[in-house]
Amino acid sequence: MFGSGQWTVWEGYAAAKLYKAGFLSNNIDPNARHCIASAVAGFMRTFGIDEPMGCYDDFENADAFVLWGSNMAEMHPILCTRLTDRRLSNPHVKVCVMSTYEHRSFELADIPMVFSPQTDLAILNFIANHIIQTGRVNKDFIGKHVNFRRGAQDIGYGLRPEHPLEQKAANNSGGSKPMSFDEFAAFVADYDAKMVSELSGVPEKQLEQLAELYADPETKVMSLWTMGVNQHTRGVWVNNMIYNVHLLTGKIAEPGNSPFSLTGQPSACGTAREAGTFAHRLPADMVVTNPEHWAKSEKLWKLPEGILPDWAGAHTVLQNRKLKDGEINAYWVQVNNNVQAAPNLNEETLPGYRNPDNFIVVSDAYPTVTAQAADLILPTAMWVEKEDAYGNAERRTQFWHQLVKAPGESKSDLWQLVEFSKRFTTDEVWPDDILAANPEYKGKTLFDVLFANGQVNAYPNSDIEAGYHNDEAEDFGFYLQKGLFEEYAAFGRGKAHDLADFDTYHATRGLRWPVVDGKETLWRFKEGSDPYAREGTDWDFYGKPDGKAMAFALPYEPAAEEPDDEYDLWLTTGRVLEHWHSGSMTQRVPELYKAVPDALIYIHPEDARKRKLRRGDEVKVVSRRGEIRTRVETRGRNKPPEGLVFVPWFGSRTLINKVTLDATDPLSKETDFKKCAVKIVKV
Amino acid sequence: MNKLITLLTASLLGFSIIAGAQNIATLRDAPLDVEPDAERIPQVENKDLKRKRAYLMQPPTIPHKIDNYQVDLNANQCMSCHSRKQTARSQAPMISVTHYQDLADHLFGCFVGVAMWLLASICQPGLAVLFITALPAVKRCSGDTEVTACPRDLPGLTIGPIEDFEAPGDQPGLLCFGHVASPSS
Repeated sequence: MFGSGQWTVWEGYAAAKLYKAGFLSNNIDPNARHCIASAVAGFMRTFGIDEPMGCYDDFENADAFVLWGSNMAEMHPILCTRLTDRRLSNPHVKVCVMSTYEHRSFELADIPMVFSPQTDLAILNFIANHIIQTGRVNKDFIGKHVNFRRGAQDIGYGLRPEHPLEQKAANNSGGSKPMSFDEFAAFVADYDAKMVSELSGVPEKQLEQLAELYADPETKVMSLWTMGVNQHTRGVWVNNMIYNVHLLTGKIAEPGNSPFSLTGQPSACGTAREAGTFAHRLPADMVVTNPEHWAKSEKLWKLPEGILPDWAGAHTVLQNRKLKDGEINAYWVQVNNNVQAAPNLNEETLPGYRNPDNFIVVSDAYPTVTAQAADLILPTAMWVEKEDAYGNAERRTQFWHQLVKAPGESKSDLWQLVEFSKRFTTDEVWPDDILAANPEYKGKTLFDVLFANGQVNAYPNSDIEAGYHNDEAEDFGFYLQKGLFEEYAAFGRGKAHDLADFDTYHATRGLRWPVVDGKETLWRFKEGSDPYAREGTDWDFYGKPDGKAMAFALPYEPAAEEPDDEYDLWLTTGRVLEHWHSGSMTQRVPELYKAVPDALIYIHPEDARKRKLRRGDEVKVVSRRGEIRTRVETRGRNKPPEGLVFVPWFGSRTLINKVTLDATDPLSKETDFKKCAVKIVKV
Repeated sequence: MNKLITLLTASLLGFSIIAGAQNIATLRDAPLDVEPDAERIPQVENKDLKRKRAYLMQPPTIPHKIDNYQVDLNANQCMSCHSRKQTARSQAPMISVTHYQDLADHLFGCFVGVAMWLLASICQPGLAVLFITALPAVKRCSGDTEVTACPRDLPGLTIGPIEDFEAPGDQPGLLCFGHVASPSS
């Protein structure tokens, strides 16, 4: 199954439970893999627990903001108004905007920085080196709260194993060995201003201005990042290295000192990460490969012992490869448009969807190109057509009621999942030995053992707040959402993932977990603001057994595919303000459609001139994998440097994922949509 | 546009069909393995005629070119026509007061120092708008800073950001505003 960070909380929870505990398969993954997997692995590696320590209140407390490859002005426009307000109302505040091309966020930049793709790795090591060389390491903080580790290098690019780059790679692991601070200092010492300036194309003076924002003990600094960091074959490393510079200076987990992974909307945090929808995860940061974790899950789910599968399932990119190879044959896609999103459409996705051995089901509210590739389309209710919940990037869980009836025959994703579970019995899908040892489960439907289990069906429909519809409760005969939520919340309570009780969320505008004794937590890991930080610790990174965060020594390594004589331009992809994701909704809003009807190729005027191209000319954008046809834009809002072009991916007529490469971060399995080599041919 | 309306209608009706052929109303309008010709880049409408809004709270869309407008740390060129002071001359819509509201719907001082006088007429219960003439020393302070020298010592008044403000009648001074605990004061 392929799900989504746009799944609501209990949709994702019910899907993960149906697949993992019902069909006993971990072949379920969310589109959040394309988005936040590197952030998750970064958190787990550095802190041992997922999601940001800070919150949006950091915007009103920071003296400096560093946007690491994020075009926040277009991608997080509402949050960006808080950054803008802070900057313009407080003249001392500085904003550094870093990207491989100039975009709208540069309008607010005090330090506008365009760097060569992949060199963010070197820039981060330069900042660490600068902090050390200028004597601004917070020695007390690192002594008490930080362990230093040397990370494995040369880890490959997540391509198919037979690819030459994978054959050549030394490691395929996130392994690391302990090292001392002095060894760490020696490791980053090579990354001086001259070397990094030459590599990145950023003037030395600008590099130093940036490094000072982190080094100056009087400057509270907020780092913000999204796809530029995460969609990166070294995305986990970049996450780790951003934490490095915050840990070296102790600028963390206090108002305004905040390394903040912005991704997680609308519910990639609340659902995809927290509810355990990834192929390797269970709820509340647990993993499918840990025997203690399945034992706990089996108990909370009231399942026979030893039933949960102990193997990590296929992640997003691997699912498409397995569809093509015929190893996955029945596939259900909910709440996303992966035929438009997944990389290398021609060579991987489409052959998989078109494989005659496979049956592809797509649940959607709109006819997307994924629906176009499906064998069966299920009409689906959305948003306020159901009672539901989201959890966002600042750990805020928020609920809403069903406000309108869904049109036609459409049903919510949750309804589809729960109704589907009635069609299977344990005898059909569970192993005989488990059933022989636990005869009370024999002859039951998956609905009986997963949803009518005395927990999920524990709350009557009379608990529903008067005046609201609840189509799912009406059809199933119990308050499904409340039962799912309370069962799910049991995973995190007492484990620093505490959620409040169900009814509280309907009475508030959301609360940031952990919610302990009715109080939400604004800054984690800091004694006094986080109830889990132990007394006398000051800072307590309790996700790790010794309460210390980890700083990782990691090098610059090149991208999986770089421009050469034939494919002579970098291609980077992204979005535009007007269109959300693949545009399946926003392209149907007349004002937005008219404002930006098609995805264009943004190119430097000099690169256009060299190719005898003018604005508006039709061109093919060609890579080793495929091509699209679009029009040249030399004057638009995005201004790439020479040697790089930008194409947004919302346009269903210009499927740029035919061109992109399916290289992933080998640790997070997240695709690098920001770097591959292309050429442009006039039509 | 007709095509767009058809698509909207199709999506609103709900559907349950077996796909496989190219018979579903995607926005692509071509088989997945065929590259359709690229549509021409449309001309930007530059008629300066107000457009109909689709719903009550919809912000206006821009019916003119904005190529090469300066909008950055130094200037906001939009304000040269859309600021309160310029609208009589320009006949352009005045910038919405929502640009001066914070997350709690409080109106707050902001970076352009115009349109503030409007606050007096639309202010919400509990919102105080003060015109201060006797504070030459205070040029600008942030929302974090408590202004203790406020000449009208209202109980429970927290002062929002203060801006240089060109007062009616060209009287020099500052505008400050904030929230009063008890509206009666």
